[in-house]
Amino acid sequence: MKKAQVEIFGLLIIVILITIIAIFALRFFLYTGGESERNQDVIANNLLNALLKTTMCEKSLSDVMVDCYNGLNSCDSENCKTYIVSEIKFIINKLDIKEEDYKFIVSISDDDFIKIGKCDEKKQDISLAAPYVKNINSKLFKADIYLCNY
Amino acid sequence: MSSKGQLQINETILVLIIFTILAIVGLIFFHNFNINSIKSQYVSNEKIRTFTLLRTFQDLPEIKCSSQIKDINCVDSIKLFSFKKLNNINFGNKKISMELIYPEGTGKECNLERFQWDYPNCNYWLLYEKKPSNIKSKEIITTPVSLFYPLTNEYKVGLLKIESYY
Repeated sequence: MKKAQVEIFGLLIIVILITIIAIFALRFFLYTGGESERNQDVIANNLLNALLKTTMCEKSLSDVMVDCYNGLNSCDSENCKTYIVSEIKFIINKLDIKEEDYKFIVSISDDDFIKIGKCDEKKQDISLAAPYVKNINSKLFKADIYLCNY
Repeated sequence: MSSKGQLQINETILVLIIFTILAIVGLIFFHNFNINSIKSQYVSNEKIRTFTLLRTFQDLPEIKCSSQIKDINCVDSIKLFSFKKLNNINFGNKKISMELIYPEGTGKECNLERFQWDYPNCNYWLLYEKKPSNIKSKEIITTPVSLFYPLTNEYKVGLLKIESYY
């Protein structure tokens, strides 16, 4: 082999080595450690299901809310709405979810009945439970829960 | 004084030594990188498995509320008593427990042996526990569940907690 050919061969080896090193370095720096599975949606759905089913004053919470909307006080408290809000806040607080990290909205016959929490539902990184819609005593009951940064 | 041929041989040997050192360093780096990526892949897979378990656990027929009419999304508190006695269940290195959070309970642990005395006043069930001898790290995930009390026909709020050991 001529001297020029040997030098080109050496250069080729160096280029191949640098390319291999660059590929590994890129893979190392771009590696994110695997996809973190989002379980917020599951938690949001379970929370909504557990909240609305919960027995309060011998009725489910959803029934108690509709009664309260209709002016019936199922729980013999001074103000049924204040009582319901405080109980919901107590349950969510026990789950270590901060007020900024959730929003719980209940509307009955398209009127906003309860709005708790400070989570901005317009944010993109929120988790939303499938809305709970039911006809209770001929009133359309709808409940939504949003979780953000939880 | 070395001749030109000897100088060239020395140069070749030097290049070979440097190349070998570089190749060894590269191999060590590659090996460590491979080991770390396998470890993080294992942890990532375990997390996915735990999340899947969190999603599906409350749907196990051994603990799910039974109804012949419709599908009820809740956990039967009486079924939880006997769950720990099931021998053919293996979830890996995990601890699974259920706690009643609303209304607040007495803090008593629920055991099958003390069912007639403690139920429904106990509020903590240890459902599964398998700890490895050497725990390097652990991760806890929780989800609220609806707990059904058939004797009083009441629904309460429980917290399902899964601790994974790596």
